[in-house]
Amino acid sequence: MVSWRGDKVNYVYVFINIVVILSLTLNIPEYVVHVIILTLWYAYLSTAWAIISGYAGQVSLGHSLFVAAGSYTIAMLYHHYGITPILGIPVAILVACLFVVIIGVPSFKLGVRGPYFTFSTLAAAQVLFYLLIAYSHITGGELGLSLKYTGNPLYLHFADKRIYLLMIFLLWNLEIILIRKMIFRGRLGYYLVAIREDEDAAAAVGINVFKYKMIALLLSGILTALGGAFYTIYFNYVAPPSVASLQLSFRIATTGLVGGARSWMGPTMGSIVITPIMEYIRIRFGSRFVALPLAIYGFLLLIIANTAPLGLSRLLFKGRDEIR
Amino acid sequence: MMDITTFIQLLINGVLLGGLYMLFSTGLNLIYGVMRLVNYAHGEFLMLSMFILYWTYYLWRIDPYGFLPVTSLIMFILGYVLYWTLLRRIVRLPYPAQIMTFVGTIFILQNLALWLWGADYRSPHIPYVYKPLTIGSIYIPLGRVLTLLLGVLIYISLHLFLYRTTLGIFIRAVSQDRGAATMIGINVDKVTAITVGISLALAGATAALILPIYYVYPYVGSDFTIIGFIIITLGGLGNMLGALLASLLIGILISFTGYLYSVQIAYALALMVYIVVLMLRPQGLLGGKR
Amino acid sequence: MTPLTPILEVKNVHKYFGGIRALVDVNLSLSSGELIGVIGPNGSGKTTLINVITGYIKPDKGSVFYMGREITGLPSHRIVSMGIVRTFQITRPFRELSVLSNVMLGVLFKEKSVENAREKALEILKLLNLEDKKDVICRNLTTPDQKKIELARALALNPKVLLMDEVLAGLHIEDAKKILEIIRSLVKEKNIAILIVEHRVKLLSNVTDRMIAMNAGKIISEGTPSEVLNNPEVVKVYLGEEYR
Repeated sequence: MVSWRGDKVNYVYVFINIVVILSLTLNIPEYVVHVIILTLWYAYLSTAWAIISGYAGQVSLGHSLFVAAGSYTIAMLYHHYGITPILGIPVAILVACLFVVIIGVPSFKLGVRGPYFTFSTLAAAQVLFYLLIAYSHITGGELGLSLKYTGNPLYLHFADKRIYLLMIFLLWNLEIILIRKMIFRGRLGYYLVAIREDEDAAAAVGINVFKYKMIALLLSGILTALGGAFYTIYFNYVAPPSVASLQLSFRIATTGLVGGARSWMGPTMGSIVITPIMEYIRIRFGSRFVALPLAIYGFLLLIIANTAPLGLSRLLFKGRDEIR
Repeated sequence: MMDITTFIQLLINGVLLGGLYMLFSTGLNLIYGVMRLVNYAHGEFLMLSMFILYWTYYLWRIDPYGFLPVTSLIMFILGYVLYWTLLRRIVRLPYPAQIMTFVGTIFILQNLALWLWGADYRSPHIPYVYKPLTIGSIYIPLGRVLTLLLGVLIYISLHLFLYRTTLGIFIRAVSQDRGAATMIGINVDKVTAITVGISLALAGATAALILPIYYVYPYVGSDFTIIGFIIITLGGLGNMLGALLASLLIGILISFTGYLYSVQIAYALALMVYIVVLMLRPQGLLGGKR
Repeated sequence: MTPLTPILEVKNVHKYFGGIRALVDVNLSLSSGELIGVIGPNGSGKTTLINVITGYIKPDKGSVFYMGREITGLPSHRIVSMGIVRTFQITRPFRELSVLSNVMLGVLFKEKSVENAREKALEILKLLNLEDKKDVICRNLTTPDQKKIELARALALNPKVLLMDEVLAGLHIEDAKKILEIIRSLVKEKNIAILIVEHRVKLLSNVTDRMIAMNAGKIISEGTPSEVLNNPEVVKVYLGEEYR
């Protein structure tokens, strides 16, 4: 049972809220706003990822699939048909659901035992990556789509970056609240954790394992797609390396794992630690030189796997922010 | 419709392609067999070997086919050491930590390669490799024939090793039931370490067979890992014969689809095959290990 | 349901695994408020019988009836929802979850509200004297306590029929007796039908209403504990049991 009063993890949550609200109201440099937006974006994506990978225990290494579903749908509808992203969002959700069914049904159906889901996500994400490059007349191929900025708020074009910060901040907060309500206070959370721990025992207490895995994947996929939609809205540009690559999938997964995939604040904490550093390296050394830092990141992952296998949050909060 | 020559050409290409995948997938299967873990980084070891072979050819003109045994030996030692230092602990870690380990390994290998050698595609341009053997109007480059012959040779040796030697029997025992193997006195850790070594050595051998007719760059590994896993799922996880069969099938599939449409569609189709297998017969064509 | 009308009936069930005859023409009936014991050497088909009743395996011949309805071959989670619950030979609690969460998972099956589920789970823990351990992570519990969790979780599912597969295995004789007492009182208080598979024949003979002895897939004797235990064929099969 999870109790909330006086848990230290709540202080982290409140602290983040305060920092963001301050950033919104004070006059801080644009690149700082950008870094905060990115941090919240990765926090949001990893938290969504954790629904299926952390709570339900079915690790996805291809979540870029859903990011691309959201971002490309919005981009293509706007680029080819001039449809505002606001109307594009329901379509993006539908596309995400389609992907969920294609990946989820074969991997979760009864009788499938083994690492198939993790691999399915990996393979599907890579296939989508290639397809996006191949069908360049619709998708813009390797160079992607550059979207025209009109300055029209109906198209979610704003001059002040802080409005985008507000957007992602609200999105992230709503997601956290949703997770706390549906998963940590509701039956869904217990069921997902039971499935993660022991599928057979879960079935023996009457849990329809297939149904609940699909629910978790649907939630995760839809939320992730919304995050992808935000990417298009903010950057006005999509390309396969940015939203559909294995690098992105790994980034989302490792952010969640390092922070703690079983905790509601874990992935966010992971992003707070990882994202600003990665951004700093990218800006300071240029994209060409990310290789060495990434290799070092790989080493760190190996170390963390052995010293804090369940993430930062488990180390700090001893499981009080997880379902136990 | 296509004419008979093209058909045969594509079929042969497919079989040759299957031959390439054969050794690689078998390596994946071996690790899955003894550790019940998928080595997501398998392709990166292939990439590493390919770079080793590329540089030894580029700098000292050492023929990759000739250097195959040495590369395999290097990879064997690497695999053996990696097991004792890293992989042995991984079995006891929770699933999230296992994934972190594999992803971490992938990051290290890919980015070291990127940092040391850059992102460019490199191919060794060995002259005799391109000499085609022609039967009628069917072209088969010499390199591909060598690849297939050597691949079959290695595969047969591996099969003999697993079924006719004591160590081979130990490996198969550990694959079937780790606990039971301990109880009859097998040093499971040592056997597993050797198996991981063999698996990586197979990746090294595949590298020698592929490099002359392909190209290397830091990200070449992931595609192989993906096709490799599709193959072993299709054949049955842990099933050697299944991997052989599935390699040929997938090779032929990719050959035909790549020609008729594009290589991206070929990959998409391979993924679809994988999904269909999961839906209809999750244990694979010949049955796999849980 | 009158005491004499059986709630669970197994009729002419056969199960073969290749050449092995795991169950041969097995007939069984169980009524509410009854506690019956099933004994037999390893491999006699006891666990297979439970697997067939609860839907983990389909029989090759024969049927299973529950409250008059045929349930042969239905999926396990359906059978659980109807009120037939089983425990496993090797306990499978959720090891990384607390005692309370484990039992809650049983209650959550019918109870949608997490708050109410918590209340009911606490009640069950009280019944089994486990309430002071409610926040302990299962991995850290002693074996007897883990067995109690298995029982608690099974009870949480509100069973009308409970099938227990070697629940006393590995327990010290005092703990085993205590658990049997709890099971006995549950049968009477809640009018459940309980079938308990066990090796430790003497312990069973004191608490069960009826006993069934199996060997090589067949039922070789049925009746009161003293009838069954004095049956010469049962004694022959259990020659080694004298020394227990």
